[in-house]
Amino acid sequence: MGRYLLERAVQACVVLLVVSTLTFLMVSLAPGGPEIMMTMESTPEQREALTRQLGLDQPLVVRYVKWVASALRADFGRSFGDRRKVNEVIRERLPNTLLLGGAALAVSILVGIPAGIISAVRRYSASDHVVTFFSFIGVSIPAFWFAILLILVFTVHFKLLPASGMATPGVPFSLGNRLLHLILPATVLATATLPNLVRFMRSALIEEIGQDYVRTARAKGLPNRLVLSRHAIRNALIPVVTVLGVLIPRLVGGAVITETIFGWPGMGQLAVASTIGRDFPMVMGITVVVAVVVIVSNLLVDLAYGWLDPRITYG
Amino acid sequence: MASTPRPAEARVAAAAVALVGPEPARTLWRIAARRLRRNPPAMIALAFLVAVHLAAAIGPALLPTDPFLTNPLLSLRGSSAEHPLGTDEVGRDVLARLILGARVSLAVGFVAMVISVSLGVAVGAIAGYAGRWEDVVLMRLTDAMMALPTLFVILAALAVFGGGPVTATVVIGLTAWMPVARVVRGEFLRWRVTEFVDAARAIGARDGRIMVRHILPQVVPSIIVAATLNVAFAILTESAISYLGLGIRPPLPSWGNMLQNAQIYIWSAPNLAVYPGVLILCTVLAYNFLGDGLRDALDPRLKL
Repeated sequence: MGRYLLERAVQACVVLLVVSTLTFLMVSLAPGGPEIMMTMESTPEQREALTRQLGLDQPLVVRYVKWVASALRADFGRSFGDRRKVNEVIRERLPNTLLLGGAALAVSILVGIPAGIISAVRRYSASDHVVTFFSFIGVSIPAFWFAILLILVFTVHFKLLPASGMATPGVPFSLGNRLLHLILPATVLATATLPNLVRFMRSALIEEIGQDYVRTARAKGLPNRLVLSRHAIRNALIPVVTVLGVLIPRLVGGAVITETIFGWPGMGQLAVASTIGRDFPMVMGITVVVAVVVIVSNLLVDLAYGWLDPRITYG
Repeated sequence: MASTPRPAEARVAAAAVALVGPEPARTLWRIAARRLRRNPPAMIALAFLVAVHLAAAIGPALLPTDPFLTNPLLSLRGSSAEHPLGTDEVGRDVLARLILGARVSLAVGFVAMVISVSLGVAVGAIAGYAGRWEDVVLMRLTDAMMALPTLFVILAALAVFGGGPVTATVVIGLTAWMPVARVVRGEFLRWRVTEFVDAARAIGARDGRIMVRHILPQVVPSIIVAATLNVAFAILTESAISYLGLGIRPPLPSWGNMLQNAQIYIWSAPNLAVYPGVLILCTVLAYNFLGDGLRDALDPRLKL
């Protein structure tokens, strides 16, 4: 177990190093480079001063080593835009994205697992076909368009749900208000993961239902409901945990679209704004932090898998 | 190993069938085509895709309306004789832009698919065939890329290289090859140890020839399925980044960027939000249904 953890930690560090190096190279070698920010209305002297101030006059290798050294202390420098510290801005934004992502994951699990179970138990029935059709729609619908439709229906037409921000402006914080603001964005973000969860749950359960132990349970006279709930579904849920590892990066990526549309002040919205503003320190900081979040959650998923299934040993 | 097809024997069998009677040889492709014909969702999807691609290919030539012509006096109009689907916020014809947008979106989807599938096949083939350190290095890279939230990577790349059709296509292609690489690697691992590969090696075929001429043809069905699903994914990704204003930029229309302002005019002109969205949904849905149907038709073992 200890050795496995160590191995995974080393692997994670390698991945992070590759990601940060690629990001750094991409930004540094870009046509125009970071200097592109300073072309507007500046004298040559001002430009030179700014270049020196931002450290852009030093060789690439020096800049890279400096960047890695400070990144290890979670210091990604200052934003080109408003000159705030990148890590401060990220610290503000990250919890909001985690809240949205967590809510979407909860929706996916609460809806996806029962839907997958129904689909598997009543294989080839009308309800199976309906579930399958909707999971195809879910995979194929552009998230931003789905969001526009939901806003049109629930905000514009029925005036039921807020379509922007995390809270009603001017109203003191309340849990109910926050949850109300979460419904639409979480629903849209959940479409990134829900269909895969349904498909995976369905095939995992179909496989379990075909196993010998299910036949044995039926042969000893156990009612079908108990055969499913005590035996088949429990075992089918174990591999479903692994699919979460694939879904988490998708959830985080989906946040880019969802947060932008719903004005949710998280990492995704920040990434879009920094991309448009070519705010390189911010873009690099976001990419690295997002990679860390994904790697850590994947590690947790792996550990949960081992804990749920005693047959798995880490060797 | 008894069940693996052997090309020489298959050829003999095919020749025998040809000699004996008029019944056509039961090749993989004929069987797959018949299975596909019995799959209504996949056939409807195929018909729809043919129609959309035809419209994209010849539509701009048939339709005399200029998709770039603006007319401030005619902005945000509904359907009329000259503008069957109305006009957008600067008075451009929505139908003409949808058709040209189809060409742009489908082309981006197709070229991005070619990039991601080629890269995925190359990585998967080398990793699966070479094994050892090449396998370890390439698969670690694949895992690392899989673990990254694609859209953040795409945004970072677009921030650096700027938007535009070419950059957007390349970036989408370069971030979608990982699942293809995994599938192809698995297949190469499986076929590498078969007898016909041993035979080819025994008569002196080089590794490159074995990979391309002997193993690759066995992998073609998986590649076709992956390619179909990849087009769907690429079209969806293009629409998302163009919607954000970072991919294809107006005045060149794409289905994604036509929706960019739809949110603003959602009150006055809801039709602007409907048409491009429905087209993206139906096209992506059709590619997904077709991919699923092809998977069932070409390899029933993979059926979920």
